[in-house]
Amino acid sequence: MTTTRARRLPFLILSAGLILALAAAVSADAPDVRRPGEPMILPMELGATERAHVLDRARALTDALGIPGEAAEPHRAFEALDRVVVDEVAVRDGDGRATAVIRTDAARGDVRSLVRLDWSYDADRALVDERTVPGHARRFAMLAGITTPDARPGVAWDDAMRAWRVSWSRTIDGFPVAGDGLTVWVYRGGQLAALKRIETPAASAPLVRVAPEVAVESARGWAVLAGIPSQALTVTGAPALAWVRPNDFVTRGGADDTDTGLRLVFRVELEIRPGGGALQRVILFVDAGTGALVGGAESA
Amino acid sequence: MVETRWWHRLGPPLTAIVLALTVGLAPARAAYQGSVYSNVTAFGVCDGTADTISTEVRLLARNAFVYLGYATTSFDKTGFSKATVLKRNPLDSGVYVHSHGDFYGTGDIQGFRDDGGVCTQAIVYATEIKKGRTAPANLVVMSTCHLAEAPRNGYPAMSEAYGIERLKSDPSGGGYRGPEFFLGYRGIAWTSDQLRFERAFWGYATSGWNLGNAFKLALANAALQLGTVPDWFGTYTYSGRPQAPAPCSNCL
Repeated sequence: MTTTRARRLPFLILSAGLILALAAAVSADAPDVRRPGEPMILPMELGATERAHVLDRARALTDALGIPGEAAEPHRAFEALDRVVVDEVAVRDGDGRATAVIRTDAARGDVRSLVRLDWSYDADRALVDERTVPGHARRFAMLAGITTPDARPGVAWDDAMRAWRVSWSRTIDGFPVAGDGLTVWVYRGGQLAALKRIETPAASAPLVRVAPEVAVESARGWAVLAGIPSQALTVTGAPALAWVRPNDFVTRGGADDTDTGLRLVFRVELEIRPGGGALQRVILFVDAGTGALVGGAESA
Repeated sequence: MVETRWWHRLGPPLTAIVLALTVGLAPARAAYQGSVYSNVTAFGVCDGTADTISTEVRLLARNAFVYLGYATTSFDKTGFSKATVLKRNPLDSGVYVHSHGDFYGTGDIQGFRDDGGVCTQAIVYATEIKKGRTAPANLVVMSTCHLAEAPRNGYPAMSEAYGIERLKSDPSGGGYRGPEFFLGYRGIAWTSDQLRFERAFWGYATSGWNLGNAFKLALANAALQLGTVPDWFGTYTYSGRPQAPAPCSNCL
């Protein structure tokens, strides 16, 4: 007797093969590295078959979430800063008004973001609050095919969106992933305002980690090379482990992003006060496995 | 009888051509001035980092301002001085600043640093901006820390200095505030997040979306990694294209 699992096996293999082939095709068109000054977004060709897939995915989402209108205008682009190929679709009602914009990951087909643009005054009716809004957010995520973590989400009022922001941060091996996770915005009236899911691919965690003190020394070494006097430099707080995407922050003329995906790093936070100038906050990313500087960020 | 000379006959058609050219080529309205400033020195020379973002965001903003129809000039290094900012301020319809921004001085007044090509950078205060203006601006972007926050001690917020109140109209068009939009950040803004957000915002703003939708789409689509919080004030449905400001009761 053939088991259900055995009957499904050929289909699973076929599906996996199709996904891998699509991912390979998508990544083959994307440049490896973006240099400063080069375009941050590159339009890409979207063939007839892929176009139909993109529209079908968008229709499935609008049907599930009850968004009025018809998915149209699909286009594909390579987001060079984040090294991801995305498909974007506008949803328009019968009068041509945009009701939503949907972005999916071109390789995986997963929804990356969905923004509703068909606001009405009902959205401002105070029907949900900080206590009840996570339940609404979980339901919208489920309807969009996203499984929410069991963990309690962060909830805050987002004045810019005029909506509650419900967010689940992503962690790998217990360490936070900078910027990754699921965010669902819900209007006070209980309607979906927007959702966003980012899951950046990660490199393997290092088998052995350097000590936090090594990370601090690495940061101080960078400051010496950068010509920052020791009296103008303060290391604030203890180095914290996090997954980040490396960048060109410490590499003059280097690439904005490399192709290695997320790396586990120590975040070392510094305050720099150049002579007579403004206080500058800097975060340096020190590879947790090698102790090498792999990027950073500075405040405005 | 005097025969009309041949060149006399050219008079009427030449006059017509000159008139047509004058009317046809003259701008329909005075050009709306746009100023784009980016502090390169603070984020490179002064803190020893290999910054490329200051130039990238300046070019993004400059191109967007030009697309939207502002007569735009961009400034950095010695060109981005306090004197230049204040001199151009009265006629600015569109303004973009990428620099350090904070509450400065004993009065905690909102302001931003100029560049000037040196690390001892002068502060341009919201009070100084407000003093030089007689009409609200259309589009103001403060790509700095803190300048979308509420003002302190009775001094104007940076948006208010440009005549844009800290209010938001409805996405449906209700509560219209005139052709005005302010974009800024709350708390600490990280330049790599600003680059991602502003790339997305300008991308939508220059491809047919109004500024409110462009903001919302950018917030949902940009992968902000360090917790930077953008905010906006003004008219959600405004296109960003320069035009005469609407009268307002409490702006300047």
